[in-house]
Amino acid sequence: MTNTNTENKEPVIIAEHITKLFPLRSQRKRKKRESIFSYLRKEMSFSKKEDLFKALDDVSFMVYPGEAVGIVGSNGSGKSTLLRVLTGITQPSSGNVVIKGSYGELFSLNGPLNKDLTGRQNIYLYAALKGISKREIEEIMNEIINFSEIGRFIEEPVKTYSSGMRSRLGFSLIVHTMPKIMFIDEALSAGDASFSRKCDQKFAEYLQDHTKTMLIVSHSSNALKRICSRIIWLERGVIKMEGEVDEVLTAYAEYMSDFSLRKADRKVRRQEEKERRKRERKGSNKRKKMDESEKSGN
Amino acid sequence: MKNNSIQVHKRNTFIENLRELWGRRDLIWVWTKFNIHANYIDKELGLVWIFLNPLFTSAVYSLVFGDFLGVREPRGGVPFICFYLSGIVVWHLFQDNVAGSNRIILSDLNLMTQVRYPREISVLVSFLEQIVSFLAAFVVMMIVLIANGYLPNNNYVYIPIIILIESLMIIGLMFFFSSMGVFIRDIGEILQPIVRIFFFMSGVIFPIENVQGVIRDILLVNPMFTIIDSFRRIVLYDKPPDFQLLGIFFIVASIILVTGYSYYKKKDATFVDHL
Repeated sequence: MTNTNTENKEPVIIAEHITKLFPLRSQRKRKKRESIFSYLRKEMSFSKKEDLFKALDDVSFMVYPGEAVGIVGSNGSGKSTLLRVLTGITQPSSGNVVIKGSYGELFSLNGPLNKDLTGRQNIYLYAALKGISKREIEEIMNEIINFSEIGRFIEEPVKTYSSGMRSRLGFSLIVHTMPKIMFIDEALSAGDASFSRKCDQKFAEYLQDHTKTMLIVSHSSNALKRICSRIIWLERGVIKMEGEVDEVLTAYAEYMSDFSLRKADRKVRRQEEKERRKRERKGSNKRKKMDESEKSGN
Repeated sequence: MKNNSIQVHKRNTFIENLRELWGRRDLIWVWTKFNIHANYIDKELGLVWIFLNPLFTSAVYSLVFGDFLGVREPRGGVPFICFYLSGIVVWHLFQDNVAGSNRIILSDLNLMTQVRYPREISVLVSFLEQIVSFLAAFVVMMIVLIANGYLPNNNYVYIPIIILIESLMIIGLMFFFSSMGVFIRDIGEILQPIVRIFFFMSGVIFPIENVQGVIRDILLVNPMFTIIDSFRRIVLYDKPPDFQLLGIFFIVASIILVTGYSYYKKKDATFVDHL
């Protein structure tokens, strides 16, 4: 009964044909003959299509209420960009996103925190940023502080916190204020093993409520297996595979070990080869001397 | 399903934007409060510095211009510190906001990539912080004026109007320069000298009677000159401001604000793509 009856429900997240283009900085240099004004005009609009990098290419999918959908993909495949487009933080070049209900995002555990403010002040600021009223946040204030295990440090400025404390506070803040639809990027757990167990438990509780929905980007296949009911595999801005957790994760793992690693390996080997040749060709006396002195040193 | 679909990338109309902004007034207030707090929390004297800063700078300036260079106020023998302070208080609201406006978005860009909020709040918070400094400087100015025998008069009721016109213009310019600053980082280098030229073209440190010719004409068409001069007429000479001129600059300031804001809203979705 957990995730099978999605067909008769209406989707809560609808992504239609999302394409996202980024300007490449290296190609943004002014050409010699170009006047400064036309350059500036071009600079401020992404009108020249050939200067652009396609981070997402015609991505469409739907997410139904009660689902936890994981997004996997190698580095630079557009996962984070996809989440940013979905949450409205950045504009897609074309395509459309519809979300039914209030939603929240979690992209970094200590991002929104202002280091000069105390932990408690940061909680208030965060609540205001997310549009949570002061009364609402005060009701769950103690719960947030207790869960984070920060104790009396809550009255100290965040800059005095250890990184573990910071992410614990951030995490606690977020899991206690999660709206019905959540977008999470690479921040499934924080702190040591015992805290991390608490986090997992909190997520499980959250998902037990079948009206709640989650979209998670992660590299940890264990975490995804625990939480998700469906996986979307993104590769170079395109959905390569979509479906059951085990099926997609196995295919993805195979792809990664098979292709990517060998490719990376090849790349490294090619680089080494190139450098070696360069060294041989340019084999200056200086280098030789250095090598010799190194050898004699040894 | 309840009919609460959110079209994530819909462009809002002007009115919708204002309504959304009004709905987030909590955030504006809390953010401003904490920013001011964070600026002074580590200092031993804390918020006292808001009052001490204008006092120190005006003491230095009036020493240099009044005593070393011998600039005098010709109309009624007003002590130079009073003449200077009444100008600089209004001027600093402009300078502190506009000269640093290119950095507003750049400093919040990290937050913008992580949290969704109406982007114009960054600008408004930055402005409100400076308004607090302005109010503190105003208090300091009042103390100095009263100590020199210039008591508050009936014309003080016009001061909010003058500051309102100035604020409209400042916020408009801030919207414009802050969004430009994201795309063209050179803005910051250009802005500083321009604001400095504006300082000398606004008659903050010398009365208009001291200059003739083109410079005088420039002063007269410069909104900042009229704003500062009107303010001075009230606090030093107990005269009402020139309403016709203020009316014109009110319209100019409104146009600056609306175009600046429209430009900002047109560009704000692409800020995070220009890290």
